[in-house]
Amino acid sequence: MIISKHLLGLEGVHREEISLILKTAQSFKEVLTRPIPKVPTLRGKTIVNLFFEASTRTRLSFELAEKRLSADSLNFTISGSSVSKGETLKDTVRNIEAMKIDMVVIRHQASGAAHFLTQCLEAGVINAGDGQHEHPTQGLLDMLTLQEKFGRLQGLKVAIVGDIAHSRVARSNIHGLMTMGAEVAICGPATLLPRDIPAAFGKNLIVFKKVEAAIRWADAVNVLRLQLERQKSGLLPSLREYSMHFGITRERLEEAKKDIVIMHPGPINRGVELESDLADSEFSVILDQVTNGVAVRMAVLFLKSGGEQEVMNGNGHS
Amino acid sequence: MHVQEPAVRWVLKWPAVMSEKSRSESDGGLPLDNGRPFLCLYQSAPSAEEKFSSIIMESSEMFTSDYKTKAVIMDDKSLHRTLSRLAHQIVESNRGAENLVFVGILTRGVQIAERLIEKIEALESRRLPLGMLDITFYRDDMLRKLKKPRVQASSIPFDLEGKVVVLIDDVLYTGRTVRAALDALMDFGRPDRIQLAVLIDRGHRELPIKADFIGQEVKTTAGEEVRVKLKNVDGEDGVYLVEAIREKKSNHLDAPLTKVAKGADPSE
Repeated sequence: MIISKHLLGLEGVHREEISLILKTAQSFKEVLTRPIPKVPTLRGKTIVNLFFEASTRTRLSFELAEKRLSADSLNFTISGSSVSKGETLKDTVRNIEAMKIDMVVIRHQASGAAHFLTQCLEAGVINAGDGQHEHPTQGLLDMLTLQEKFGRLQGLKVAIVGDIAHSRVARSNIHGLMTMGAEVAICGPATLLPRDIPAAFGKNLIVFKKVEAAIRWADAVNVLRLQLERQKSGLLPSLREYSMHFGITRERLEEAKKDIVIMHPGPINRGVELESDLADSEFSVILDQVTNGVAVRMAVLFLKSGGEQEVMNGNGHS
Repeated sequence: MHVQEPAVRWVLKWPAVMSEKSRSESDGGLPLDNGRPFLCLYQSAPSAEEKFSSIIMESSEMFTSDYKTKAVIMDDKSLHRTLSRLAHQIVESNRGAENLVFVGILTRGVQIAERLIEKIEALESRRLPLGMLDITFYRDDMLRKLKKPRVQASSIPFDLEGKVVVLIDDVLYTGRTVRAALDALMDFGRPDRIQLAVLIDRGHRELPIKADFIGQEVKTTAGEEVRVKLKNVDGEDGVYLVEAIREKKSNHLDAPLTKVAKGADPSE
């Protein structure tokens, strides 16, 4: 198997590669439980984190993953950088690359920003969320969490609820889960669903109009964050109305499977898409997702370091 | 003190063709033959000659491979005997099994450790705890290798503090794997002592590392490789000396005979 040095999205990534990343992430989870939770694997590699958009979890998670792998990491945030002086993205990254870096992790508000970087850089590019396109490491950590919880992804019923059209998390989850053989459904207000669903995701994607039906069907519900600016753009009448129709509440869970799992990529708007009490309930795996995020990002950085390469069948120690 | 051993003689068999049917794709084990007859070099006591013929499997469909078997270093019986001796030596030198824990290096180090634990349980009626170590993250060639290894999860489900750790691997070669394993172990805790047990020491060390318990020392050249086969992973027990084939028309009879030395305690 040949794996690419970039991770731009989960669309088109082979099942075998996703399995390899998840399996490697499990090994890193074990590393994180050791008395010294750090390995020297990426010693001498330099990774730069370019965050053009606000982020807490993803940025800290990548940074921690890099430190746990002994890589040197640089952080770039938009405030206080030359971007505010009008420097273009291409100039910014080419200057950073001239400082001899090996990998770039990028979060950007424009869809396709990560792909654009691959065309002007030699370094490997890891997409940490680009506009409304994809957030592949989030998709992977959601899959790792589900796999741990259920022991499988094949045939698992996952409902994604919320603003599907604008969500990179939804897109990565849908592509990844479908590749891994899970059944995926989406549910949300019609204004927040993608326009041509079969064209975007194939015919197998199920659409629920009512959240109650999605909850009854699902083994796991991935609740997306409602981006509050959607109300301003006129796609939602009010947050209260959204919450009444699509909010995940304890009452609605009464008809769900007993071991249903609630996921949320964070940050949560408590009381809007998810009842506050549920986020801390026994159904919630939200903090497991955060823990798994570090392991998944370690696995991605480890597997993508050193350029495009083949993966051996065995472990090859001698 | 030296116990007189029966004279060892070299038995040359021609042609002796090995085949391997039960090779698992996933374990990374390499096939043994290239489908051509080759010289097989046995270490054998005169009376035991016939017994060894049992390990020459029937010729069947061959793997097209870049390796050929040059010699059988251990058959199943001698492997069992060697493991028994190692178990005795480990217990003897540690004056029992009180404070011992075993850590095997994945994959075959763990299999060997399991065998040793069984033998020690029979001797001392005490089952030693077993840890598994994947050393991928500690390798020093990570940034140089073109191929990525598949990683397995380490598991050391006990505290190393105050323990005597016996680190176990199948083949000791450059010493780099052991170096990586030592670094990894230190991240799990601070054992009182670490000892190293290997089934085969094939020389060519690149680091100042020496095993405490050695099943057998084998003199090898750099082009050769030692393949340890174990029942649980490979479906058979045995140790073979194989060589990568570079020139297709090489004459096997001209190949240098490799001396296979009798395994010995390094202190001898």
